[in-house]
Amino acid sequence: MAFASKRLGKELAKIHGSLPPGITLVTAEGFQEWLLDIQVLDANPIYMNKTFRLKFKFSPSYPIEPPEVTFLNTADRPVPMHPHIYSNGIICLDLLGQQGWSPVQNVESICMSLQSMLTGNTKNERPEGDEQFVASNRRRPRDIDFYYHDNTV
Amino acid sequence: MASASSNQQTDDSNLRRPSFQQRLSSSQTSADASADSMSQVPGGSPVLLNDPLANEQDGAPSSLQSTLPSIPRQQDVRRCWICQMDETEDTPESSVWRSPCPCSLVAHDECLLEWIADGEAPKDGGAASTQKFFCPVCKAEIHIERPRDALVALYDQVQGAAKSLAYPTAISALLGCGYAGLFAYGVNTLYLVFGREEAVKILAAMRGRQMYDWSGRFLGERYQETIGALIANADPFFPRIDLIGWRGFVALPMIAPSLVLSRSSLGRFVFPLMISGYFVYSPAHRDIYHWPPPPGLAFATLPHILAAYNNVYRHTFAKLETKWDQAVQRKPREGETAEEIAEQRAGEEEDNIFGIEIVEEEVHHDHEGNVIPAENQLPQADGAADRPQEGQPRNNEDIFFQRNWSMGRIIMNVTGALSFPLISSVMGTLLEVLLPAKWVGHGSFGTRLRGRGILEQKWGRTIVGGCLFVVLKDALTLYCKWKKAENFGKRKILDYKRPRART
Repeated sequence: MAFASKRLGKELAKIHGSLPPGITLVTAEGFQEWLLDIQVLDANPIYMNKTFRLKFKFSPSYPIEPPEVTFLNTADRPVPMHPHIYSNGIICLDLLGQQGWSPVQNVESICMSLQSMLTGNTKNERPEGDEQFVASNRRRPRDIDFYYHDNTV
Repeated sequence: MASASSNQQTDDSNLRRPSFQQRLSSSQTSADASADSMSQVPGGSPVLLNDPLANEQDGAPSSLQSTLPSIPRQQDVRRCWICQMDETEDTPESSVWRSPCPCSLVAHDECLLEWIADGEAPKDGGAASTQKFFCPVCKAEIHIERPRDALVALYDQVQGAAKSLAYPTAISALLGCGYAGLFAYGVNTLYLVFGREEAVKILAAMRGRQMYDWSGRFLGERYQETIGALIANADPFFPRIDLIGWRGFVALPMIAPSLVLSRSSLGRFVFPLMISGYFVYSPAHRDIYHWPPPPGLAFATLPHILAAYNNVYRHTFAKLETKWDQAVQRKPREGETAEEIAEQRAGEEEDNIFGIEIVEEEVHHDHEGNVIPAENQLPQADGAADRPQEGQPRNNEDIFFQRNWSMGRIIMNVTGALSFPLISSVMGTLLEVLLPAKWVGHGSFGTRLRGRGILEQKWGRTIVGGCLFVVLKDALTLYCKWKKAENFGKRKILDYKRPRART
């Protein structure tokens, strides 16, 4: 635990110091679960004037292992529409999987990647098979082998 | 610089998402830059480096500073890319610094080792694997010095080889299972057709200790056994060659496919080769005038007999059959002929098992030059003028591919072909029971000495039984078609008989 908390403490200090525009820290109590809000800053009509809430869950072996990152669905924080984001908040992004992850990534870089993933999106839709996935999935996001079929979005 | 690039994004909505690598390195640079700005103590007051509260208080100025384009100064203070600690925070227990790749990433030896240990973690109860690692930013290989142990190295090699062999082995096992199934079918069919006694003799002959075993001659028995053992050890699902010899190994599994093939249009091209093949490889049986013929010749001739029979059948009964078939379909409406109705269904009823047929739709042109698909063409002359929207000019797209077979039909044909030996064998046994004992070889010594008739042997009865079955089946089919055609006009619908209303 010492390893993860040392690194997270370091990241937290930096986050408290500065965050890129559109990213704000909501809560970071302890080193297991953090909440951050992100906004898309350009005039993308799909996400304009909306704020999305990200939940980070860290394992004791962070940053060797990736954190579990999902969008939360609350009254004023919807799950963004995106062909790689399921309606239960699970995100299909290579850098969050065991294969794409590396310890150079951090909470801030993940937020920025998600921000730009939304910025570049033009499709106001859910992934294929969203309903079925949401209904049947009992696994944790990191155990799911997403098929990264489309890297253009 | 991350903050700078995201500022650009806000300005330019068309800005493309920065590539993964750019983002990685820029966020790293920004991390360094802001760390630098923090350690430079913005605001002038001394701040404890490890105190997050202090940093939080100074958040505003440092964020201001980090949005400015600042020169990265990672050379000044080394920062571990894994634990994010920098040099100034090193304690006496901290491990040494490593710079394993050409880019600017540096890390503690300990952190790198933990990262590597995670990647090499033993899976499924095996030993830890030995893998190559690459820098996540510059993709250069990170070289690791490990104590070399000959045995461990060998173990790793074997483990790697076993891993890469897993799929080929599985495929080979599947093939072996399929082969063994066909092989067993072949042997069983041999027993069915020839009877136990003869089948054992044939199998013994196949084992290659007889005179015309070409493989035995070329390879020698010992090689054959060695190859047999090799194949059996490489894939335990394959039957051993030396049990049965090359001929049996090749020929026995072919029985099932060739039975199926004989039902398809392809068989017509393949099977004429069999009779010539028979004479090439069995010089001892060139005496075709001998009666009864040797079994090999008899079986090689069968496809030709079948073809001849089919031709005769078609010549004799084809017209009658179509007449009866047409008799049981609906009556032609005005302007329609019985042939047209039959044609409409012909596509589905073609006797084509494996072929994918190209169906070219007949295209008719009317007087305006429009094209009317065949099925839309009505007999009345003014039909085309009444339908201006229909029959848009279409060109070569009228040719379309139609898969002219269904799964059920294929299964029917395959199982039919594969159960034919059994049916023939049963018919042969029936013959043995029903025919006079003299014909089937249970008679006196005198008949035996005269030379054996074809019915005196099990395989002969099987052949004759099979032929008889085909003829009987066709005869029965014809009879039923005739009967149905004859009775077609005599059908009538029965009125519903109401129970008498009670008064």
